[in-house]
Amino acid sequence: MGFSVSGSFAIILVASIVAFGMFYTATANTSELVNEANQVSADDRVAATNTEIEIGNASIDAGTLTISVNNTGTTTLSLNDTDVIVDGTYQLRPFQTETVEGESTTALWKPGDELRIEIGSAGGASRVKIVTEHGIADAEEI
Amino acid sequence: MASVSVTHMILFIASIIVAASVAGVLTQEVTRLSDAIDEEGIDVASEIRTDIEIISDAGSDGVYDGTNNVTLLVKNTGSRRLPLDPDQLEVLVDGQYRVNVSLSVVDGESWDVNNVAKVNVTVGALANADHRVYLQINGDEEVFEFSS
Repeated sequence: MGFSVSGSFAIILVASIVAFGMFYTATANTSELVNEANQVSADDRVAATNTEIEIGNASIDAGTLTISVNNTGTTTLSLNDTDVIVDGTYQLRPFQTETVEGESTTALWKPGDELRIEIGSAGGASRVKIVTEHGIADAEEI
Repeated sequence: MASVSVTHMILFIASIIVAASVAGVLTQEVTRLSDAIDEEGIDVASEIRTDIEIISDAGSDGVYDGTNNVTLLVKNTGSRRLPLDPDQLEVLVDGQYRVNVSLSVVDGESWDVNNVAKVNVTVGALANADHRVYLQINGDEEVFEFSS
């Protein structure tokens, strides 16, 4: 009788340890995945809240549309991830000119800097919208 | 005396068999539960990482072409690549589910983070009024309103 009890107990104990091991691995992996996703999402939300842009001027001169946009937030934005929409139509890069504070080689649009974009053959344009990487946008009538 | 030993032996074997069955069922069920938790975790994480923003300019005439199509520019503002598959994007225009939806990326090959996709919905003639578009992809919802 003694052997039966201890033998059965040992089998169930080993199975329980194995089962707990599997369960722990699964829950630990899952919570790590979800926590990481939550952190990235929270960081994005903070960045979006700190992002603000303002179109200073949008004008057309001899068929060339010139847009000046100021980064009035506190995040550094990427030029490649900034979108320009003219009259509801997405404008593909490269633009005629694209400079930040007069620099055409940089891809960073730092807080306080002015982004200047020139788009050729845009004579009839009436409205422009600039969208940053976090979805924060500003629009202006020309 | 021999009969006592045989009885003990039978009880021992029976108890081991019962214990082994219980152990088998326990590990099997926990394995299934663990797999389900794993899969659910991956789904939840991808839902959290999905974020889109409709960046179309409602103030321009670029949304509705006046005859047949509503075109929206949708930016991937999340932290994962989104599938370029109209079946995974649910579109409602004025509360009506739309099936004639096409999806293409305007500034790249795939709908990566920060890329913009063009969503084209065939809606037919729209009345001269205010309209509402609802988009849903992988649990993330966006609403866009415009006038035709």
